[in-house]
Amino acid sequence: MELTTNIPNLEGMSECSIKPYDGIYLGMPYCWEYEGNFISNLHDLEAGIEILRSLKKKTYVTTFAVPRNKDLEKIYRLVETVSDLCDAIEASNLGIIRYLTKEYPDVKVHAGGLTNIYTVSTAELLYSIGVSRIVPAYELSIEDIEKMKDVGVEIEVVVHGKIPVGIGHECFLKRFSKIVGRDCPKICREEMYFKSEDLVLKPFGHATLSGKDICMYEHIDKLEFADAFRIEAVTERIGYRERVGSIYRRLIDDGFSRSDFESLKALSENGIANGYYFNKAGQIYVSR
Amino acid sequence: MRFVGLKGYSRYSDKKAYTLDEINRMEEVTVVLNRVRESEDLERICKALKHEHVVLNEIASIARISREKKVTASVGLNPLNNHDLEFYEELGAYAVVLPPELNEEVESFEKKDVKIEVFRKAFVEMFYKGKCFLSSYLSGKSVKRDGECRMECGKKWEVFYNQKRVGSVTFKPKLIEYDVGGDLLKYEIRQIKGMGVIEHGTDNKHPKP
Repeated sequence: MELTTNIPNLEGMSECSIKPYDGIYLGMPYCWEYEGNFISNLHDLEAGIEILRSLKKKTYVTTFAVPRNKDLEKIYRLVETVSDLCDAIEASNLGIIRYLTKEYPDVKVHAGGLTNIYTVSTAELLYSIGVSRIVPAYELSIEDIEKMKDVGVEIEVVVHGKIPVGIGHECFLKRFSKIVGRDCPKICREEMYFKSEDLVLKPFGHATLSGKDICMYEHIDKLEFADAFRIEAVTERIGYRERVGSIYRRLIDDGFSRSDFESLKALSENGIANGYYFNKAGQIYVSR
Repeated sequence: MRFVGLKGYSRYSDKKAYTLDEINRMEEVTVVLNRVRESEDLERICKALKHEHVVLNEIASIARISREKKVTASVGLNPLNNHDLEFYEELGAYAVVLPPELNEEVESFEKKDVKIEVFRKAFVEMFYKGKCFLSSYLSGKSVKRDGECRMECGKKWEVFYNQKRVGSVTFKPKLIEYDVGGDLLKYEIRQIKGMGVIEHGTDNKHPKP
């Protein structure tokens, strides 16, 4: 089982935060302007790849999740820079996925969670055009995801962290720049939350994330058919990636630990949920 | 050309959609099947439809059904750039619907055989159409799978920054009319009237088909 996470910039590349993982996705897919974002700073990206290579980690590079025509040149430059250096490129836009499989047939392409892969037939089609790995749509249940396993494509699932509940053309944080006295990109140095009664959302770049952390620690055996487990940490504070990764590494290697599970809960400032894995509202948590 | 939703297969709830029999009694309509379903299911239902033009939201079904019918790639697939258009053209689509948020940049799209359909009237929402999972996250009803939206975006949300309340915000969808050109012009009023309208465009770059 491969354990993966995502790191947005060089600042997040400490050796201890990388250590628990087998593979790392470099780059913040929700915003080009994020400070130091690997996908906008190609020299940093090359340095990041070098670090991962020296640590013998699988090196994946992500791309902007919702690219419009004005973004294409930046994506071409990014892909040209890393196509010979990384183990795979992740995209969540179908046009970019097809561009990659056509123009770079030797590069492995991963279809990210915002690609909207809801059906076995979509997974089959993507596999047939050269996609090697998919993150099925976040809204799918375990049973629906497991059906895709027969296609032959590798399956990666999010086992922990905040998942997107939507992505659009606007960064909602920027609406509050004047009020909080911070412009882009400094505004996302501190966390913003939208709250309504007990509901919590976390806007971040073009995406809005679940306020709660998706947590499958107690249910990890139900996802063992997958090829990779992902810890979503691209918007998290320093220390989160290392601590959560270490806990899941111990889970994979040594099995369940009550104290580790309690630590995970303590790390989740808005609580935990199972996402959509059990065919329920994504914010609900079902205990084992 | 009017377009209508098929009960069980289209978004915006079944209240504004029609049964297969009702639709097959209509003359010249485009049938919207924009819930995400397995391709086999969509192929089966398309065989039962007498109409030649459908809107689909699942890529494998576009590839298969476009051999028999005229297929429009739904806005729910979130086409955003020239490579998206190329991909849907490769799959055999007749037209691709662009999100209304892109109306100011329609000119940046290269002319291809696949038609560009734009919204002249649309509800603009918190997220791109097809990229919102808020309803299922908060209440378990998926727009893409159940065709039903609980409109959680329309709540009043208190905004906290660095743990301090800094204001409130709502993302209630807004019905917006646009002056925009394309090969096809869409008036998405199914949510209100049960039927929408598509007209041929007269834009020079995207001329009348």
